[in-house]
Formats: sequence, structure tokens, C-alpha cells
Amino acid sequence: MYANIITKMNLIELKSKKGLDIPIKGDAPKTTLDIVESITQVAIVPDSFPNSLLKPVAKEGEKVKAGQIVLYDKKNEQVKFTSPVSGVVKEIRRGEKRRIIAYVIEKDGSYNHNEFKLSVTQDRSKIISILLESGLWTAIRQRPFGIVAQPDKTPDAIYITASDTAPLAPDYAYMLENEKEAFAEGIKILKVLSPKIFITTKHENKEFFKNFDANIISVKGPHPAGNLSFILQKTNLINKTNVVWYIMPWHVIFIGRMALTGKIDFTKTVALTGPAAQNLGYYKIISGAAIDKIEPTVKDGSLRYISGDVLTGLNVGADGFIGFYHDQVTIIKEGRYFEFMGWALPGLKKYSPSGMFFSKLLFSKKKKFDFDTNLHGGTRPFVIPHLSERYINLDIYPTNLIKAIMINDIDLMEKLGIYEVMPEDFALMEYACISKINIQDVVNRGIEIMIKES
Amino acid sequence: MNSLKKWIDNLYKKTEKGKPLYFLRSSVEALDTFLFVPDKVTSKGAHIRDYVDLKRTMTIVVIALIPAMIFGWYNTGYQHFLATGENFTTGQALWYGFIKFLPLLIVSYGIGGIIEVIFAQIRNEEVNEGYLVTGLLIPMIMPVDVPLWILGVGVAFAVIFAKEVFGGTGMNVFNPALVARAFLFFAYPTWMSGSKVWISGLTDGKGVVDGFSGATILGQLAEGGVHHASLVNGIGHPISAMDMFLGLIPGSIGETSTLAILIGAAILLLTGVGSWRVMLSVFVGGYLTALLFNLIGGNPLMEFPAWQHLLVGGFAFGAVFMATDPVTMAQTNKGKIIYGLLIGMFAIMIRVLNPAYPEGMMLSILLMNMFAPLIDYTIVQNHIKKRVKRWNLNNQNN
Repeated sequence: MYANIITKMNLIELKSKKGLDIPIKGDAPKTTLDIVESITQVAIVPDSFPNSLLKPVAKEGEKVKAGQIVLYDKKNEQVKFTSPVSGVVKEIRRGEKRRIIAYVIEKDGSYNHNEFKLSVTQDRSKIISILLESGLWTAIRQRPFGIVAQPDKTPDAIYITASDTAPLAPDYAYMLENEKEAFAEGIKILKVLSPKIFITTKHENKEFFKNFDANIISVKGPHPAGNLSFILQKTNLINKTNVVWYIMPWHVIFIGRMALTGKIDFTKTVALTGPAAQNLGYYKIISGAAIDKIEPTVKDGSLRYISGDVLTGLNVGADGFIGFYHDQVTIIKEGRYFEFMGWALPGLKKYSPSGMFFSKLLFSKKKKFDFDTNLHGGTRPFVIPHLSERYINLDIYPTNLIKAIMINDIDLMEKLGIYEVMPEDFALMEYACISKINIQDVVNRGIEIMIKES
Repeated sequence: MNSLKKWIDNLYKKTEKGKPLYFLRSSVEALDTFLFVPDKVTSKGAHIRDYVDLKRTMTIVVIALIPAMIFGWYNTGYQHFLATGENFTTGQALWYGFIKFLPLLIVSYGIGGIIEVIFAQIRNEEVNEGYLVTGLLIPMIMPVDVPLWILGVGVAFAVIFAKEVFGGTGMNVFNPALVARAFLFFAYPTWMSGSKVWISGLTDGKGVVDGFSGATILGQLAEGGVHHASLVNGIGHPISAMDMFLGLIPGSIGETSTLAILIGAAILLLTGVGSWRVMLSVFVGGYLTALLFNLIGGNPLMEFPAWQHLLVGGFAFGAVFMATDPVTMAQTNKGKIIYGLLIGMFAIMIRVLNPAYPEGMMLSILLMNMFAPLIDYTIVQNHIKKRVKRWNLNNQNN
């Protein structure tokens, strides 16, 4: 119903009412520092690829070229990961059960690289095979499930997601200002993969994206207005039988650069944000750089280093690296403290979107707050969901869906719309959940089950 | 503060698994989390969490109950002194009610709390806060002179058979406080109904003014066949609608004052804890049903003005504090409205058509507790059908 309208028009404006913009301190000011030269190591972080199982091809100590395959996904062997730089495999850092947590490559001074001849004149299957070989295929993900796209499927459309509304999200119009050429070139390549291209953007940035040959979807409203699930629900419903692909703006640029130069160039900008970050701002880096290159990290465990935003990001630690799909680093305090009778005090200094603290009456709407990682209570049975459900902007019954996942009822999960959601859509509900349930984890479990079933 | 923390840490050590005091483990945990919000940090998903937890939420409900409770103390004293004919001050009335209420509260929290701790220990879980509210609700919906042992039996029955056998907090089908009351209502009717139990001191009859009647409003309308314009209090003075609104009428301890209950409702709604959908629709359902009976007319109960129906018989208390129990109410938004409307409707119907049961509100909520899952099921199935339809439509056009 919607899709037909879209092909005829260039701009779709969407509004979301439900949601919440968490007033957290630490927005990045719009200044960019180029620190590409200082980056000596980059890493591939397997945790940024959910529902995958990465196996190394190149062993520790092996020399690799930029664009050389170093890892592959055992669950989907067509999907390969390549080194963004030329250098040596320095360390395969492993966590529990020998799971790889970071695959670290140290740069050498030289620039040996694999050549990739990518061009808009090539046919679809050729472009796909080049993208697979160059590792850039991992940039293209699919809905349902949010996993790396299956190359043999034809998507209804490709969405370029530049509408991040998460707390302290980076500003894409600012970041992409100097990359217009590569971005436009990337879009041309994507058009060969699917004729329907959409750029999703925040309302205030829509003028910037009008310069490109794609349909624009602008969103207005509090987070999660920019989430792809909300946009898809309004523009292209997802079910068992159809898929759409989506890709982040920087990755479009990577593809564009490859078409322009034949080389792998993973240089991009990330925003350093969060109440505990000292050097707030934007940084030009190589994708997969270490966080301590942007800001000197403290290793005593008092701070949490998050690749991504505070609601959905990865806790990568003080010696961690920035994940492939993340354009933002957030630093907040760890909350390991006891609070005497905290639940009973009036809480005049505490921000809470609920009406249960007087603070709601006292603060102006513009005031920003410090946040830490304390759970603020114990885990309890899942009760009073209406207090947290109200932040979900999708046409679903969130609590019923969550319960269907909890009891492993695949049929019911399907009926209640598991194909249309991602864990990120439940992040605010998780934030506000009075029972302190890890809702995103539950949803992810549901998606895992569905992947196994399909 | 530090020494307190150390003392608790010490208690933890003494109650480790395998030690003789292990059976007190969950009590120590409960004490610890009561005194200190734990230092746990987020491990998965959202890295930041809201300050609100179940303790805070339950505390809000308790706070919302306080106006009705304090007015209940006053009314207990007021009705008692009316019956004995003594002069009294507000302070004396409050104090009298407080002294009457305190043992009930202690028994309710004591017995219920112990059972909760035992179950938490058996299940190896933290003690839940749910009972904070239930434990206060139960004495508030009791006749003031109920013997403590009867109250104890009711509490034990409700906590074990209405809550814990289902799996504890969040798993129960029926509101435990109402189950306690319903159980006692049918098991010990002489202590739970009639015209003597609602006023303190009336059952033993000592010092009561001659000819004093302790009948409730609904009692007078139903059994006495009194027209609503001729309602009287114990000593024969007329009762106005204002008296009913303020709560100066015989009844269970906490349920008489619609005013105090509305203050509680405001607290629940402003904090977002209570569901406005349920509250509003209970009142609307009750009002419309009563209006219908008004139109039919025929006996004093049917002719009792619709809006006054909402002021008596615990209607407001049930609507604000019982129907909105987040565990036992319907969970879907549309379901909440249907659930509320039906509660209001059945409450008035039971009251009017079966005058032997002036407890219409209690029975109606329990009935709808049972149907809440069915209502939700229907709403969700409807949603699923719509999803399929929308999907097909979308698919055709693609």
C-alpha cells in the first residue's frame, strides 16, 4: 500500500509521538579533530555483528594487506571480513569460552592493498561479489533480524539510515559535509542492487540529503522516531517473506570511495559523547580504532566505555575498540555504589521520566543530567508494564510479544510481529522498566530463535 | 551509615549457604535492599536505567492509601462515639481509630510478611515488595471489630492460595486483598456482614445508646426498604450525600470516604502508577448502570440516585485501589476500558438485583479478575487479525 506511493514521491515526512529524549549531558560540539595519523591499531569487534560466529582466516603474527580477508562468518560463509589497513595481526583477544572479543591488526607504515574494480556499469551479481570479497558486504544488513544481508535475496528497497535519534547521537549532516562526492557515488552503486533507495534523516537535516539521488524519509519526534522499525512500519512492512536492506551513511561512503579509487578506505568520523567524557567532539579516525586514541582512558573500572549510544551500545572496556556499525562513543560513570534508602527519598536531584520523583516538577525541560550505570533497584517479576510500554512507538503489543518470547512460542511471536522489531526498539522500555528486566536481551533471544527456524 | 553496611555484610556471612542460619538469608536480603539501593550495575542492554523500581512504585501506592487510612481512623472513632453517645474531639476520634486499626495492621503485615519470607526462601528469591500494598489494603477493607484470629486466617489464606500457589508477585489471577475479604465474608459471615459489625463496640453492645442502628447505607436501602431521601445515621439524624462523600457513614475502615480516596486517586494518576483507563471506566460503567436502574425504578435500591451509588459500598475504593491492581487487571489498553466498564456494571447489578450481597464491588472485581485474561486474549487476537489484513494489503500492492 505504502510502497507504491513512495516511488512517486521524493520526500516522506513521518512523525512519532511516543518516545523519550533522555536529557543526558555530553553532547558533542561541532568541531572535528583529525587523528587518523596517530592510529596504530584497528580491530574488528565480533560483538558488533549480532548472530554471527566469526572465525579467523589470518593467524596471529601474519602479515595482511588492506582489503585482505582476515575473518569469515561460520554461520554464513559468504560473509567475509577484511583488514581496513595493511599491517600485522597483532592479537586475537578472547573472552569467555574462547569467544573472540577483538581481532587486532597493527598498522605498518606502508600501504599494501588489494585492488577492487567497482563500477556502476557492472551488473548486480558482479557488484555483489566484489562487495563480498572486499568485506564491504558486512555494511549491508537486512530486516528482518538485523543481520548481514543474504546476498542471494532481492530486497524491496535499501534504506540508508542517517536518522539516529538515540541519546547524544551524532549529527550526520555535519559529519558527511565533506564526503558528498563519495556518498553520491555509493548511492549509485546501491541503485544497481535495488532501484528503490531511501535516506532516512532527522527532520532538521532533510535539506542536506536532498542533494542526493534518493528518496528522503524525514522523521520528527522523540527517540525512537529515527529507528528503522518505526520507519519501516510506515513505509514498507516486513514479514517472513520479504526483506529490506539497510546501510549506514559512512559505509555508503566506503563503497563510494572504492568505486572512485579502487581502494579500501575506512576513514570516518565518530562523535565522542557522554557525561564522563572529557574531550567531547568529533574525531576523524579509521573504522575500528581504539577508544584510548580519542580520549585517554582510565583503567580502574570507574568509567564505562561504550561503543555506540547509552541505550544500545557495546560495553567495550577501557582498552576496547569502536564497533563497525558505531559512529559514536559514549563514556559514563559506573554506578557501583549503595544508596541509603534511595527508593524512599523524595529524589529532588534525580531525573526520572516517571511521575514518581518530585524532580519532574522542579526541573526545566532543558536541563541535562549526569547518568551512571547503576541499576537503581533489584530485578523483579515483570509487572506494571504500562509504565514502560508507553515509550514504544510501534503498532505492536510489546508486553505480549516479550512474554511470547519468554515462553518460546514461535507461532505467537510471528503473529505479534517479531519480524518487524529489533532489540533497539525496546531500549527505552528497558530503561524505564521498574522490574529491571533486560528486555533487549529477551528480544534478541526471540530473533535468534526465528533465525534458527527460518 | 558505614557501620550499618558492615553489620549487614556480617549478617550475609552468617547466613551463607550451608550455615545454620541460612534459612534467614532472604530476610537479610530484604533488610539490605530495604536500607540500601544495591550497587548492581547494568550488564546487558541499556547502560542506564531509570531510578524507579518496584519498591518505589509500591511506596507510591502506600502513600496514596494514607489519606483514606487516616480518615478511616477518624471515622472509626466518630461512629463509635456516636454509638456510645459520648462527646469527643477530632483528636480523640483519630486516636480511638488508630488504636483499633494498629493491631489489625500488625497482624496483616506480620502474618503475610512471614509467609512471603518463607516462600522467598524456598524459591531462593529476593522478598518482593508486593505485600507492602496488600498488607495495608487488607485491614482497610475489614470491619473494625473483626477478631484478629479471623483476620490472620484470611491473610494466610489469601497470601498462600491467592498468590504464592500461582508463583508469587506478578503471577496471581485474583487480587489477594479481595480474596482475603471474600474468603472471610463467606467463611465468617457473622463477623463480616450485617448491621452490627461496622461500628466499633456495637457487637458486644456495651454502653450503646438505646435504639442505635449500625446499618450501612446499602443495608438500609436493601433490608430496611428505606427511601434514599430518608436515610439516617445511627442516632436517627438524616444522612446527606455530603456525609457519604466525606465518608461519615458506617463501613469498612478505609473505604467510606470518597474524598480521601479521590486524593489517593490523584496521587496514583499524577505519578502514572494507577491506570486512568480502569479508574474512569469503572466509574462510568457503574454510573450508567445505576442510571438505567433509576429509569426502571421500583424499589429503594433501584431509585437510589446513580451518582450516590458511586459514593457508598466501597465503590470508589474498589475503583481506585482494587480494580487498578496492575497484576490482576486487563493488560491491554482497550482491554482495560472493557474490564473497568464491566466491573462498574456488575458491581451495581449485584448490589441492586441481589440485595443479600451489598458487597457488589468486591464480587464484581473478583469476577472480572477472572475474565481479564480472556478480555486481553480477545483484544490481542483482534490485533493479530488486523496485522494479517494489513500485511496482505501491503503485499498485494507491492
